[in-house]
Parts: sequence; structure tokens; C-alpha cells
Amino acid sequence: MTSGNSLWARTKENARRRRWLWIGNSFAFFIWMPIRFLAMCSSLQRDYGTNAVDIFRDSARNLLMSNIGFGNVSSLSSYSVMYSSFTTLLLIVLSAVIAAMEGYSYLYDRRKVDRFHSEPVSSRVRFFSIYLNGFKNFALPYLCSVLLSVLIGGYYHLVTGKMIGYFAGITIFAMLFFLAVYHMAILAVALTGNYIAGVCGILAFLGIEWAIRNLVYRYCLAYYHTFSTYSRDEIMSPVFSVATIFLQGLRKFAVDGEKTAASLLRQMGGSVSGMLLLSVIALVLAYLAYRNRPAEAAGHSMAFGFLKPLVKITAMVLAGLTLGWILSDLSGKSIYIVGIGIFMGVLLAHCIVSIILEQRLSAVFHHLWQLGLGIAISGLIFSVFAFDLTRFDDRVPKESDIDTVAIALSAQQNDSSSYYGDFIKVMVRRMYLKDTEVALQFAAADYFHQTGDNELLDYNNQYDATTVLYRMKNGKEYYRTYYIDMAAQSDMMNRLLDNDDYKRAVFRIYDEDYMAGYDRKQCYFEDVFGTKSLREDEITDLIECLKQDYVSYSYTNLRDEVEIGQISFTASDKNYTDQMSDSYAVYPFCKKTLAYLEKKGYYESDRSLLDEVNRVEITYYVDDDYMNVKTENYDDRAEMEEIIKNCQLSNFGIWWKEQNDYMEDIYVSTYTGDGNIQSFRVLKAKGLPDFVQKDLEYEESTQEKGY
Amino acid sequence: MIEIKHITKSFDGCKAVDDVSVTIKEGQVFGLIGTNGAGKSTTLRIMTGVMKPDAGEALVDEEPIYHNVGRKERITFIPDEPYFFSSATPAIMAQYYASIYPAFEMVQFYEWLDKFGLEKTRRIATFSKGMKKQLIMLLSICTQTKYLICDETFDGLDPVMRQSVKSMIASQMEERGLTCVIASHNLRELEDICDHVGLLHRGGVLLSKDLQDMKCNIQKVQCVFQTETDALIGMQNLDIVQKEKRGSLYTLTIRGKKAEIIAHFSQVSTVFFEVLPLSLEEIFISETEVAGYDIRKLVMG
Repeated sequence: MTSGNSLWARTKENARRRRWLWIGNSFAFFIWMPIRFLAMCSSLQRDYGTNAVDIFRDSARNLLMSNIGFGNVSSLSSYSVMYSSFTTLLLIVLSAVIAAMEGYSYLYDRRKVDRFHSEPVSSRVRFFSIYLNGFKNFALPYLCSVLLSVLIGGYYHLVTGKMIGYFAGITIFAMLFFLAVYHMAILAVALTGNYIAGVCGILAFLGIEWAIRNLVYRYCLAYYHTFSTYSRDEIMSPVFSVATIFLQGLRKFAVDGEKTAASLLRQMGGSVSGMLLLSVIALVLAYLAYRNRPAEAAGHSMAFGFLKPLVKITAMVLAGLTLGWILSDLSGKSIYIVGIGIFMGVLLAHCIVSIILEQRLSAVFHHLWQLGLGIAISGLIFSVFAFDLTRFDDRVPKESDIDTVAIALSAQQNDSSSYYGDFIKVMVRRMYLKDTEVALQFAAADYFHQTGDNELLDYNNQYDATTVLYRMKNGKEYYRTYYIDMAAQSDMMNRLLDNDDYKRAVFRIYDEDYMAGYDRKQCYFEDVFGTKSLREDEITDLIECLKQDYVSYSYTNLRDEVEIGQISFTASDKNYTDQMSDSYAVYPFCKKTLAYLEKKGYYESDRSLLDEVNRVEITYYVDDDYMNVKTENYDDRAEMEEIIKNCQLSNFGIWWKEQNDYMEDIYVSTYTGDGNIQSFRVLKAKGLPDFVQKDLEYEESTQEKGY
Repeated sequence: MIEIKHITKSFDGCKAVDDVSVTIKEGQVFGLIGTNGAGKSTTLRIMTGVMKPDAGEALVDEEPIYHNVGRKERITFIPDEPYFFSSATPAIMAQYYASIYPAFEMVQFYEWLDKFGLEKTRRIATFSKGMKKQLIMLLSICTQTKYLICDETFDGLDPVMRQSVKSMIASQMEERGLTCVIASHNLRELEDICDHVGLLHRGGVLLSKDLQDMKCNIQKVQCVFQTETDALIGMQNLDIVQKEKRGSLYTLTIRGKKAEIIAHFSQVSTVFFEVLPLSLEEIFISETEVAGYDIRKLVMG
């Protein structure tokens, strides 16, 4: 091997011509990472440095984690990670794409191909000299930026040993991400022959899997009645979608940030190995494409002719199904409208892609068989969803194959205002019901399963959208959504709500470490007479009472009894950075709780709101029109009593009743002398007193008739 | 030696080169003639290992050239539109060439650069087309490779420059046995430098012959006969390729050795006769007319 063909010589020579890339990356990463961090730290120190050193240190530490680690790692929410990491991700992606394009786009120019490919340099040396420079032009500026940020953090005494481990782990992961994007971009350039096709190729590689999965997800959601939005992860689990793999890995990282690099990488396990495998495969394919690519491909759209029909048909099917889905949403799933949409989408994609591939307008009239094939494939895929050809909705797991289940009722979610974030995700984490048969009962009670209808028109909110997670013995998990008429399935509902595993999952008061570790604890009792704050030393006893009373927590009780009040627990650390809150409905069956509250003077069982109300106001929305309102006021005690006895407090316990249990167009408000205002709903079974109907000239609305 | 054996190359279903076979011996200057679209550039790209043929093989010193670094070291290719790095100067390009070709003659390059009046620190982007061609020629010759492959290199050069380049090639041939392949669509351009020519037309080789052999085997004779009868007798037993008469002056293109033709005319009754040198154009005309082509339509530049 002569010196001209040595990797070192070629890499050095290539580097000389690409200095601008290195300068650009350095500028971008230095400004975004250490310089920005330094500026923000200085500002924080100015604001808090003297009087609130702890706050400065915590805030600055979070900033540093965010600066290097893509987000506030104390946050569990993936959205916050994405929001604060967007710019860093974008910089990495842009670096990778520009490095690939700038390094390998000589393949698009015949003159450059003539020059470089006639030289006595092997394709392997040429490929890897460009490759190494592209990687180096990102890696050095990025690593220096990370190091500088850490040094600045050290200057402000922010850095701990565990944080160093975290930074090392996240940096390795970010480099892997760069490599995966870089390799895919090189592959796209090697497979294409001009900039337009190249950019389209890069976008396709980075986004096509996400696009396909998203489309499948949308169609499942639109046409499969039992498909749950929580099945999104099943469908959206990426194979080669780099950004998705990276963000999923990041979420695992974000849960507990301070660990050693090795343990972090182990924790992220699948994401790291997935990213690594993807990088390797993309690099191998990129090199093979580069080596075998014909020189005459320069200036053409695709380097390999056999890829053209594949690209075109894929684009046509995606475009057809996308337009079909949009029109499905707008037309209420009219098959004819969707069919037109699919045809138009396929045709549009055929025209655009033909022109891009062949670089002339007349290409639209060539290869019409591909247009036909695109329409056929799109139609077939649409039919699978529209007519449920795979019988998705009928598929219920065998009880013998199920390990445990989790069941999240919408009514429970609305009733239990105690969880931040996603109620169903929390239930899934906490609930492991061994009574798997109850889940199958839910499947059998599902509206669509029972009626065979294609659509549920639930104007009266009669049906509860229940999410069921089946955990199979083989490790797989399936989500399903069932629409349940709770009132018609009271035995099934009682079986579920009476289940101890269910209660322990839903009610955190059963956790052994409930409210443990918090510095500040508070408890409130709210009823129609207002809100009272309990003493901290009363909280433990109250919790004990609630736990005992909730043994009687059943569907029948919830449905038949009227909620008396709510108990809320809140807790936080001394800096208010870590907080929790919880609330529990108090029903007449909660005898011990009520007795305790009465004993402590927070509740009076014989106290009537009526004794304190001096006025009742009734608001009538005529024909449910918020602009057409009639109001009547009553201050006669007998009249007020007659009105209130037919009502229920509107923010208590309505979720276990059906919506059509209440009059939709009537709202009642009570006013006490000390300014306490309460809102009520009128129970339909009881109705409005005659004198009120007469005063309001009340007419039943059509909705109440269930149309 | 460069051997092109039965190479075929198609682009989008259209055959650019169809079963072309050519042999270029060491020390030769091989002229590849053809119109636009004849397949010259494609043939050269295959010859230099830039393109892979669909069929056949291209060998340099008995080894295939494609993906062969060892053989590519022996070849310098000057394409029809040479590429220079943006913002590069002749000095930077020389440095680049020196990194690729270890035997690059830097001193010789700067001498010639000076001789041709090109500034070494001036940006090549500001050069004219002709200056760029000069530069690429200088760079390529200074690589000291065994073979130099030129694609329409003389286009854009003024006559003086053309002569300078030709004499440079000639001197290299003499000094180190440089073998040159020059593709062009202009016969007149190659006349005084090539010693072997190949004519490509629509992807195929019409003819490939040694120039001296061609010149030896075909002669141009101008003569005047005393009578018409003498003319008839005089032109008997001759392989006349072309005959032209202006007044009593006959201009005949005759296939045969010069000595034999002189001997023949010595015996017939003529007022005078003279054997004249044939231009490359005239040789080609006669050769291709035999094949049924009008060379004037094919390659007259």
C-alpha cells in the first residue's frame, strides 16, 4: 500500500478541506452548552447566591443536568425531557446529516466522481477517511463542550461523583445516537444521486418507521373498537427509528439520574444495544452501497434502479393511507370518501415521486402499473382495518394464558383526583389483579361485543371507557378499551371494586410508606359547609379510619349513596420541590371516618345546609343554550328545602352515577350568610318541584330523552 | 499495455458502448475518435476504472483496473470537465496531487507553471477554461504515471497552447515512455501526435489501425494523362478508392504500397504524376467509405 492510499494520509488531506465543519460544530456546541450554562449560572448566583445558597445549588445542579443530560432528570414526564432537549437533539441530528451530506455528496457530481474514483485510492480508504473526519468534527467539539460544562459546574461546587457517572453514560448514549443518524444519512446519500433525493432519503430513513407506525396506530384507533391508546407503545416500539429509540432510552435515564455510567447503560440496556445494532447495520449497508454504487448514478435520483419502484410504491401507499385517514376523520369513516382519499393520495404521490425520480414531467405517464399496484396495496391495507379482517376486536386472551391484569375505570380516574400525570399508567404500575376472570367479564360486557354495532353514540355518557391491561405468562402485554354500562353490570363492578388488590392499587393510603419522608403534611376535610384543616397529629388516625371504612368500598355503595365530603392529603419536602396530594371521597358508609371527624369537631352529622342557606338560585339553560338563560331565586325555607332534597352536590361523587341521572340544563346554587356558595345538580329521578318548573317555564330538552 | 476486451455498457437501456475491443501498446499515442455520443468518454471511464462495464473487461498491464489501486497508480485520467477544489490554487492542487501520486514532480510542475504563465497562488475558480485545461495537463503529466488518459483535452486550447501541450507529451514519451490515450472528435487535432487511432461510432468500433500502416497502404496520386485512352489504361489494375477529375488533372486515392504505385505509373503514359502525403482526414474518409460511412458527417470538426 503506497502512502497515497493510506487511511492516515487521506484522512489528513480530507480534514484540511473540511475545517469549516469543525469550526461550525465547535461554535454551535460551545455556545449552546458551556457558555449558555455559565451565563445562566451567573444569573442564578446573582439572584440566590447570597441569601439562598441551597436554592442556587439545586437550581444550578438541575441546569447542569439539563445542559448535558437532555432535561431535568427529576421529572418523570417524557414531554419535559423532549422540550428541554430539543435543541441539543437538533444540533446532534444536524451535525450528523451535514457531515454525511457534505462528506459524501461528491457522489452526486460526475466531475468529482471522475476525479476521486480514478485516483489510486481504494474505496475503503476513501470511505473511511471521509467517515472519520465527519465523526471527529462532531465528537471533539461535543466532548469538549461537555467537559467544559462539567468544569464550570465544578467551579460552582455543583458536581458530585454520581453526576460524573451520569454524564459519562449520557454522553456515550448521545454519541451512539449521532453515529446512528450519521450512518443512516450516509446510507441515504450512497443510495441516491442528487440532493433532492438525498434529503428525501435522509428524512425517510429517520422518519419512515415512525410515520408507518403512527399511521397504523391512527387506523387502529379509528377502526378497532377495543384498541387502546395505551397500545401505542406496542405499535410504536421502534426497530430502526433512531430518534424514538433515543427518546425512549432518555426517559429511562431521566427516572433516576445519578448512577454510575455502567449501571445507567445497563438500565438502558435495550435502548443502548438497539442503537448500537442499528448503527452497525446502517454503516455496513452504507459502505456496501458506496462501494457497489455505479459511477453513472451521479445526477440521477437513485443509484440503484431496482429501488425506484420500491420507493415509489412505499410513498404512494403512505400518502394514500394518510389522506384516507384524514378524510376518514372528517367524514365519519365513510368508506366511499376514504376510498376517494386513498386514490387521490396515491395519485398525488405517484406524480410527485415520478417527477423526482425521473426528473421530467412526462414521467407521470410512465410505469402506470405501479400506480395500480399502489392503489391495490393501499386498498387492501385499508380493508384490513375497516372490515377488521384480522378479527382484532374479537380477540380475547385465554384465561389460562393470563398472568395478572390491571383495570382502570374512567369513573375511578375522575373520582380519584390523586394522581399527577397519567392515571392509567400509574394503575398499570400498581395493579396486579390475580382475579383475571373479571377482566374477561369486562371483555364480554363490552358494548361492541354485545351489540355488534359499528359506532357508539353515547350522548348520556352511559358507558364507561375502561382500559384493561392483560399481562400474559409469556411476558407480553396487551391493552384493550372496553365500553361498559356499569349500571347493567353491577355484579361485575362489585367484584372488581371489592377486590383487595384493586383497592391497594387505587388507594395510596394502603401503601406502607404513605406520606413517609415528607417534611410538611397537611389534611383537609371539605363538605357543603366549607373546608377545614386538620392538625398534623390527627392525620395518622384519620388514615387508619379511612382504611377500615374502605373495606366497604363497593360499586353498589358508590352508586346508591351520595357523597358527603372529601378528605385531601398534601405533603412536600422543606423546599417544596417534591410534593404529593391525594383525596378520598367520604360516603355515608365511612362510619369510622365520620365519627372521627365529628369527634374532632370537623363534621356535624345533624347539621343541615338548609339552616344556613338564605337563598337558592336556579339557573335554567333553555334548550341547552348558554346564551339563553333564565334564573329564579328562592328564599322561602320550605321552598328551598324542597329544591335541595332533590339535588346532589355537583363536585361530589357524580362519576359513579350516570350522566343521565342528572338534569342537564338545570344548575342550583345555594348562598349562605357567610358567603359560602355551593353548586348542585338535580337528580332526574327526583326532578324539579312544580313551582320551579312553572316559574322557569321549564320544558324538557331533547337530549334528556336520549336522542 | 491497456486492453479493452469486448466491453459493453448501457445507461437506462441505451447501449453507450457495444462490444468494444481495443489494445493500446506501451509507448503509443492512441487517438480515440468519435462524434458526441459515440462512447468515447464511457470507454475512457471504463479504461481508468471509474466505471464498471456491464460485460467484458478492462485490463491495465494484464490486471483488471476496476477497484485495483495498484493499477490505478499507473494511470492519470484527465476528464473532459476537470474538477478542482473550491478556493484551491495551483499550489494547493499540486500538494493534493503529491499526496496521491508519490512520484509527483513538484519542481518540474512549478517550472512549467511559470513557463505557461499561470500564477501558483491565484484561485483556480478565476481561471479561464483554457487555463484550467493547461493546469490539469501540467498536474497530470507531473504525476509521472505510465499512462495518461485524456478526454477532449485540447478543446478550449488555443493553437499555440495546443502545440506546447503536444510537444510536452512528446518529450515525456521520449524521456520516460509515457503512453497516451487521447479522445477527441477532431481528427485534425490528433493528426500530428497520434500513431494509432480508433474510430468509435454509436458505441462500436468502426476501425482501429496504426497510422503508419494506414499511410503505407494508401496513397494519393495526382496525374495528367495524355489521352483518355491512356487514362483508362493507366487506371487499370489499380485499387482506386476515390477518383476526382478537374479538367485533365486526376486526383486518385489508391490502396497499395507507394513503391508499387510509383512503378505502375512509371510504365503508363502520363504527362506527369506525383505521389502526395495523405492527411488523417483523407485516410479516414477512404477507410470509412469502404464501411459505408461518410466520415465527413461523422467527425469533421
